[in-house]
Amino acid sequence: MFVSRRYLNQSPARDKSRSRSLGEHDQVIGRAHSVVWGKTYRQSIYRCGICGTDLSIYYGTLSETFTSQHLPRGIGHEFSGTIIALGPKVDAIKYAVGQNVAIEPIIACRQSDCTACSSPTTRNICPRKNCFGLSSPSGGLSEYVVVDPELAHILPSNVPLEIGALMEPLAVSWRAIKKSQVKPGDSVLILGAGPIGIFALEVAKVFGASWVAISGRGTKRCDLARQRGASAVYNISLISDEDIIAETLKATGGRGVDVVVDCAGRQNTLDMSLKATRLGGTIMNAACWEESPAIDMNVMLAKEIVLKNSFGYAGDHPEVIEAVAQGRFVNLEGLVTLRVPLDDFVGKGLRALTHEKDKHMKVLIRI
Amino acid sequence: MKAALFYGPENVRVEDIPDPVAGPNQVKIKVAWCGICGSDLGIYYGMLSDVITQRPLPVGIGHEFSGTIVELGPGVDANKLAIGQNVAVSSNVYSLETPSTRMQGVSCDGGGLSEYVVVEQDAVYILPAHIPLDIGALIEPLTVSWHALEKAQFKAGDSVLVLGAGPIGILIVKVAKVFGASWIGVSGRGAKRCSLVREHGASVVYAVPEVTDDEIVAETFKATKGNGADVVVDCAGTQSTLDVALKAVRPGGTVMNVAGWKKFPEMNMNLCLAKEIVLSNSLGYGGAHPEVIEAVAQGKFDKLDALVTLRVPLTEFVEKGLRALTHEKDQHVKVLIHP
Repeated sequence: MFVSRRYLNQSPARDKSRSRSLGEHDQVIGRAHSVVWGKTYRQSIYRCGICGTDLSIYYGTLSETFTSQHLPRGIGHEFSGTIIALGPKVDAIKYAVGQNVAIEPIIACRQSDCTACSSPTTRNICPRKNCFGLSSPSGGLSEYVVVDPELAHILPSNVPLEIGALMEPLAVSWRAIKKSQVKPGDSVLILGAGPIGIFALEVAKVFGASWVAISGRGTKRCDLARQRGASAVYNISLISDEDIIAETLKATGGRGVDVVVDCAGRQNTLDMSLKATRLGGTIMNAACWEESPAIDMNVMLAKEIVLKNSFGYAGDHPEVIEAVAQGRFVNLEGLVTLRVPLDDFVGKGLRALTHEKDKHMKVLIRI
Repeated sequence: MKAALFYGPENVRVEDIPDPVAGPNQVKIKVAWCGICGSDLGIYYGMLSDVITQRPLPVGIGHEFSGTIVELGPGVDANKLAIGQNVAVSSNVYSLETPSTRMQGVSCDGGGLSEYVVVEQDAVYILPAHIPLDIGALIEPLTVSWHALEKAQFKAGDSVLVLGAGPIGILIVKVAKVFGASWIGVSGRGAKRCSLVREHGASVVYAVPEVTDDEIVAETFKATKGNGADVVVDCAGTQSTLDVALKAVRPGGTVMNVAGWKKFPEMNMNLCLAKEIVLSNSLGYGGAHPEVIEAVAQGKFDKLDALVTLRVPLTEFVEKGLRALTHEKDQHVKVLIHP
């Protein structure tokens, strides 16, 4: 099978040699921490999305907090596919060959003494976690993958496979908005109009926010944000940070917003977050950061701001897929701006997001 | 009356000014004791100028005070308040509706470092008869500490690492004990503060700088079965305490900042992200005064008077009070001023 693998400072090569077979006790993933699963299955992958993190991996800029050093490794973590085989101990009532699934790529240790793993909603912060496509040998940019069934979420028949590949980033944004405790009537400012920011806009509206503004770069992304129903869109090439703050305060009667979601992760977005948040408000960080920012802790104290963090997802996929199946999100496929075959992953996929970033939202790879 | 007035950085004078008059819904209090806070030092040294200059200078300072009601203004509920009652005062007139925070003894007319002060009737809490007035002046910092742990959602059985063994650090330790903490680690500077915080309930005390930051983190992991502390409270506010806090807190745990900061720190946001750390901030009371006074009245806090290490008359506020906390900081916990 074709597998896209990450080699340090080289272009990914085709590797036909690795094709895992199923066993009763299949050893899976994570050279640092091998976990033995009793039940696994194999699926074929349909679509895999490219994430900003994949760009960072490719260019070698992703923080070691999120990766292991063992190379080569598979990449791609936003994927959907079809079950083609079940391991011997898989629950055959719940799972069947031919089912379409969206994969939740974070693999937690599930040891009995791990506090994070003791609850399904905190497995994402397991200190020993691995992730398909980030810190494991396997990734979604391959024809086949073997996974634990708990990580496979069945897609209802009215949710196409292509939308299934969007469940991962949608779940990231869902968890961020949910943990911010956005409630009906709230005001939200989203910094960054990439996929996570746009999804956060959609989710904030689903959660009943009455004013959701977003700042972004480039006409296309800003137009898209406007089309997706943002209350205000700030094109950062045309408007300064100070003006974004001034507009936000004007729109919120001088109070500031209930929640700021930082999807960009830079010094200036953190500075803006502190100014835009109301007294007692929440800043939700959903971004990976290239540098540690300086933070004005006296403003944080004086305004009693809560700075929260949302990393990936845990226990979020079921309600996200349910919301999609219920039609609470309209025209998600409109966010897919490019579809590219696996062979062209680097040449067309990554390059598009590097050099034409402002023209694209979600790029999907056809496997 | 005599009052300590802030004219500018390092320019506080105790002067004679007219007595304040209780207006509608206000009461006039004869101040008994007023404690000095780290933020008062900040004001004195010009570090909190933004907050102070909301009012024209000079302003009265002092916000940790107790006293006796001597006058009720028009409209005050005479069923609730009466002349002669001993009271503690909530200094924070704080509204989410308006963008500014008004705080007695920081940005309002009149502070507790004066013979008399006028406050809103809603800000006054009656002290039960058996709580002496000097303990009454500790109610404010005790309530700050109580609310900080409440806000951190601290619950019985939780573990807490307290960074800083000054007045707030020690009070956080006492409140954590009352809340049923399973483990209270404290880092502190100076032999006196370290032994005092051990007496007041710390499970273990890390004397800095002899114990390194890495050791504090390692010991915290050891004490919490490798998970990290449920809550870390930063009472010191430095780059080093923030770094320790982010490492020592468990995944999903809360770092609670109650400190004022001399410099902006850098924050390892990727570590915060991977652990889904909640960084919270608390400086208010959250309406906890009645609960706190009740807990003190029931004897849940022992040896509170042992935290008062110096009592100074108002006229010597700067020379003895502020200087003690500046130059002999490690020898002191709470300094109380009496007008």
